[in-house]
This record gives sequence, C-alpha cells and structure tokens, in this order.
Amino acid sequence: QTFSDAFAGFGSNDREPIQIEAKELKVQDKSQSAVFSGDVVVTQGEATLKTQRLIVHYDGSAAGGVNQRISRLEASGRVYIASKDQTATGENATFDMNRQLMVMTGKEVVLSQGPNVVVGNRLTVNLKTGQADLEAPKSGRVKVLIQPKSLNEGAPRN
Amino acid sequence: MASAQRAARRHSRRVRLLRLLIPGLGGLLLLAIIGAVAVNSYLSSLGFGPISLTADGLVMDNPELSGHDGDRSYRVSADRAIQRISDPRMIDLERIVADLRLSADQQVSLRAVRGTYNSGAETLDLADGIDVETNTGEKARFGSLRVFLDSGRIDTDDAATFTSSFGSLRAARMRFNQKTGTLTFSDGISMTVIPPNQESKR
Repeated sequence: QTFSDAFAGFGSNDREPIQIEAKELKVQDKSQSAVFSGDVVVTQGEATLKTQRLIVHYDGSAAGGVNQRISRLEASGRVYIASKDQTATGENATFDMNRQLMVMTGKEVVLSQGPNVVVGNRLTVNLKTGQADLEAPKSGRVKVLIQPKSLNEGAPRN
Repeated sequence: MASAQRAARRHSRRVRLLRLLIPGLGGLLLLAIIGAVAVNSYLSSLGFGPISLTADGLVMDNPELSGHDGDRSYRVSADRAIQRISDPRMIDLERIVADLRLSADQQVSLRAVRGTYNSGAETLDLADGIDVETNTGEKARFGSLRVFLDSGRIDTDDAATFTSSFGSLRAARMRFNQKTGTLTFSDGISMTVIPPNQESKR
C-alpha cells in the first residue's frame, strides 16, 4: 500500500497563487511575523490547509539574503491538511520551508488516503519527495512507514 | 542590456518586496500616512489662496502645507479648508492631496475625497474614499480612516483593500498601532498571494 506523493510540493510549489482566508490577521513588523487566526483556510492548487491559527515567519536577516521569503509556518488548533487524495489531521503542524519538511503532531495524527487510514502521533513529510513517515507512540503500536515510490496499482505518475 | 538591467532591477525590487510581503502590504502604505502624522518635525510652510468668510465658516481656498527634512519631504493640499464658525477647532477639508517622500526611493501619494481635522482631539478623519499608492506599485483603498495624530494610531471600520504585484489583501476592519508596529485586520480577511514567476509573465 502506498501513499502517492500527494504531499509533494505542498507549500513549496510556487507556480499557483495561494489563497488565505481567516477571521483575523495580525502583522508584527518587528518580529517579522504574520498571524492568521480564526478558521484559517489556505489553498494552493490541489492542496488545502485548515487550522485555527497560522503563524507565518519570515527570513528576517536585514543583510538581505537573496531568497528572502517565508521561512516557517506554524499551524495549531484542529489542523487539517489535504492534498490530492490524501488527508492528515492533527493538533499542530510546522512547515520548515528551508528544509522542506512538514511535521504534524498530536495525540492522534490521522493519515488517510481513500479507505486506508493510519493513526500515529507524529507525521513527518518531505515536501519535495512527498515521502511521509508516520510514527506511533512507544506503546508498541506498529510504526507505519509509507514509501511513495513503491509499486502501487498503476497510479498515474504525475 | 537595458532589459537585463530592468529585469535585474525588477528582480531585486521583487526580492526586496517579497521580504516585505505581508507586512509590506500593510505597513509600507501605512508608513505614508504616518509620514503625514509626523508633520510637525519638518520645516514647514503653509500657504493658501484667498480667504473668505461664509455661512459655514472661514474658507481657505487651495491651502497647501509642505515641508522637507533631508530627503524626506511632504506636500499636503486641499481644494478648500473650512474652519467651522460653530467650533473653530474643526477644519473640514475637501479633496485632500498628499504626496510624501519617505526616503530617496520611497514616495507615497494619498488622495482623500473629504476630511475633518479636529485640533482639539488631534484626529484627522478621512472619508468617502481614500486611495494610497507608492512609487513601487503598492496600492491601498479605504472607505474611511481615522488618524490619531498624537499616537499615530489609524483605525478603520470600513473595508480596506491592498494590492501589489504580489497579490491582494481585503479586510473588513483595520487597526494600525504605530508604537507597537502592529497592524491588525479583523472581521474577516481574504488574501491572495501571486507567486513571483507568474507575476513576470503578466
């Protein structure tokens, strides 16, 4: 069973516009951050992120490196991420744009694709390759490792 | 060669602007209004055309206030300024035009249909549509704005719309607190961010 690289490109795809809706946005120039709060919905292409609170951090170095841009996203509060046929829900998720890593945590992190559902407490996704690693608490529950490139029923390569 | 320079300038402008993305959409434009608020520290000159006394007050035609301080400068004018007889602290302004140079390469212009300056409360209420634009292409449109001249705070309970080459932001309400440097949009916000490379295709 494999999960397609649905999560590949989430947040790092810079071709399509990003749409952000929320109740409130607070921009703090000094701390180089913007905080969206209240039913935050972020959509880009086929990817959607829903959360109660989203903090966007900027590369702040005043020296002005070339790729000055969003360095980190922190989502908290009923975080739901969907991309193509895959969804993941948890309590918190952080996107490290520089290392292209998304880490979702929570008492119950639920990763699902169609009928397949796997539960753990920590999901790590490589945003470039889409590889998702779901870890379960040490209580001996099976740790599920999902390989994106393993054989799957001829799912179209995209 | 020129197109390469233009592209390089556009790129560096975009990189600089990208860094200002969300704060920039809000903060940079508000800087303009704050620039106007910091009016008193400038060497300023006040000029106006003929003055007439009418039923609604002392009317000054084409009042103009300008000043400069190093490469910062401002020029604020109006078609008419009417000091109310009923309350001389209140000055109504018609068609306000403000041009501000915040630094060598940062200019901002502000146009407001109507305004009321209350020298008692140190507030400036702008109404009936305000347009703000910067020389780097950012634009903002407000229904109304209340500027607290003493604290530099700006509030609006009307819709605020910001657009730049990076996208747009729409919010139902806005509060800008200059002291803390915090800009708050509330009662529903909607933002669209256009990725850079799509922008150059336009």
